[in-house]
Amino acid sequence: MNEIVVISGKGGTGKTSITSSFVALESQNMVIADCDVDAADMHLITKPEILDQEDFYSGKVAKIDSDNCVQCNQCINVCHFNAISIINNRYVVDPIACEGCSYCYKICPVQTISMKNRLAGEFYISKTRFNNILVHAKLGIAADNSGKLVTKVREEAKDIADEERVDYLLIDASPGIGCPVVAALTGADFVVIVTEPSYSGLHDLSRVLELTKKLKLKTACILNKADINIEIAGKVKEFLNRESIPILAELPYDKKFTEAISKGKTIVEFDNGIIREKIENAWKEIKNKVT
Amino acid sequence: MQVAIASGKGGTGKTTLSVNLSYYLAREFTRDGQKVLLADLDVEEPNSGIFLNGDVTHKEIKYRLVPKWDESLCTLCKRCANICQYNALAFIGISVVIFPELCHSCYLCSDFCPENALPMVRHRMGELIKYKINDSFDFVESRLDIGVEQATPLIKESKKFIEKSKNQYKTIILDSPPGTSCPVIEAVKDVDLVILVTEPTPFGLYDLKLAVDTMRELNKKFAVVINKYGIGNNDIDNYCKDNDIQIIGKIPHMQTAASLYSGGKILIDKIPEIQKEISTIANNLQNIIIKS
Amino acid sequence: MKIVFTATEKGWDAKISKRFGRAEGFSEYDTENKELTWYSNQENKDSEHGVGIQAAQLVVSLNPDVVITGGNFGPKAQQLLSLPNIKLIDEAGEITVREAFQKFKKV
Repeated sequence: MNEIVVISGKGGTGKTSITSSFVALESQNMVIADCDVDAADMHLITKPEILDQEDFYSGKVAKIDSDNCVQCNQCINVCHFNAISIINNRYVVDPIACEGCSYCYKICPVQTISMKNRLAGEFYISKTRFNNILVHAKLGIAADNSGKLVTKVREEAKDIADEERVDYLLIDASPGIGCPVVAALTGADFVVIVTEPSYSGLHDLSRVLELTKKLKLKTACILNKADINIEIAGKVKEFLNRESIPILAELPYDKKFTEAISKGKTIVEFDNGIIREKIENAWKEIKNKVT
Repeated sequence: MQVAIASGKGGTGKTTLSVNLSYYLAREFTRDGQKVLLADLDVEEPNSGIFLNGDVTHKEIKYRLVPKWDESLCTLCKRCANICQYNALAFIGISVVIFPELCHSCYLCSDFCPENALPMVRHRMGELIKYKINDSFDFVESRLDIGVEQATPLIKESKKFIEKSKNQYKTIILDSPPGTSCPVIEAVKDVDLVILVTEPTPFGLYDLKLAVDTMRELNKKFAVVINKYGIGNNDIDNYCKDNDIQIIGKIPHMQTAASLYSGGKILIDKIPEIQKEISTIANNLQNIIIKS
Repeated sequence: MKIVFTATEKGWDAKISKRFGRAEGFSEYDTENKELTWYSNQENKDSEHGVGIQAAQLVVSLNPDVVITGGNFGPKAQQLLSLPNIKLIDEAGEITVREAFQKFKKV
């Protein structure tokens, strides 16, 4: 089984359009992990039926039982997150500001503060309309995307991929270079970076590439909207060439991408021409490169 | 007035709006030495700077505080490693190892160490640079170092920096990180208004709903700007209408805009249709602020 | 000599775990008294941050000469395990504890 991660430096490059096309092309022989838990979009296109769902807890949050509180103010003094305030003469924890360090809990002289598990989101195992398993999640509001939920989505998907004996585990990673991205990338067999020919795209591409290099991962690139700026597209290609990163496909800027999304379809279902062909070839090449 | 520009997902045009709106406000809504400040708080991927040229007027390295093990004082009691909720300290044989990337700077280990063997020391997380773009426009960019995992502390420090010079500015625009997790919460904290940028596609709608839920949970005043208006469908218009959400601008979808954006260009100088819509947004902003 | 294996369950026929921090547990073999002892990692496995660090602390406290895992040690675990000069063997693959021991004896 091969783990393939699709990632982009910035949002809006068309990562989900391309990832969902791979899903449609490979169908049953694949398990998908939507690790972009901050803005999980894969289910909007793959329309999955939820098979299993559970609450996801991560970290702690302090709670003050005001009946026993002696209002000594020590908790407020020690909290470095300004999470405790006095409202209507009661000491109250703001669960959004609280980072669960437990300092207040340890210092409270009358033991009236407790540490509760924090509900951080929901986690799903689903079957898509392409008959493959999609593992996805929804991060709760103001939850800390520490990478734990990403790790859980990824590991659960990996276990299912092993059990079902499919050939590919496809991971849709969140944009950026922070810990959720590191959690999605660690241990991948192959990384596909989706980028666009803009200065911001180029800038973010170089940051992501620095990360994949540091993690010593085999990497290739898909240049989306290649024709919106020929000059910068040239610069992106030059840069990739210098870094010895192969380009799997150059896709045109086409409103069909948006039309397909608006109809809840993948672009390879919507287009029968050159776009479909290019994405098909890219997927074939990825498969050749990992095996 | 402080306005944060945010979105549920990336790539909707947050940076385009931040840059063009700030530029427009600085040009049209300032007089007698009044100034506008744009701060890029998308510290993982700061991109506003690509569109702006100016002179560096200030630069500082940003630190946060983490414990440092003083071997000579430590009696190996293990209390620190047991007490830390983030597993940021490990006790290996006869030494304590600290992982700054896991530390939340809560001071618990440092304050509870009976030997004072864990003083809090500075740890580099990134850089803040301030530029002067023109006489009425300043720009602040914060950038997280590669390999630093927590964005929130740098956003917090950057906001402290902005707070100090707050009175110099008529308007402060904050380009926030995308999403609905901690970094965004930190970025929008204490602002007068949040503008949620979205695009008229099912992805845009889904992500807008998440962002709206977040703003309601935080009790934040917010309004919506639809970018790339004209592609996709009318679901965003309908959703906003049904939920009493004010749309303060619709930036038309134009391929020339995508092309100019990709070249790092300010759009309002080149595309009159976009300048007109940015001016509508600017006027709507003034009205909202006056009302409140 | 003491050898520690990451394992999915106790006993010689258990599979070597591919994860270190989130391994189900650790089997320790002592070549002196020829005993295989099981240490559960359940408590560490489910924590949100620094699982590799917690697991490494547990393993180091056993004072082993060698640690064998099926996949990779995470970067943080690796940093900690190399402090007391433990020999680390990774990428052992999907084999049992017994097979891993046989393989190790040959090197």
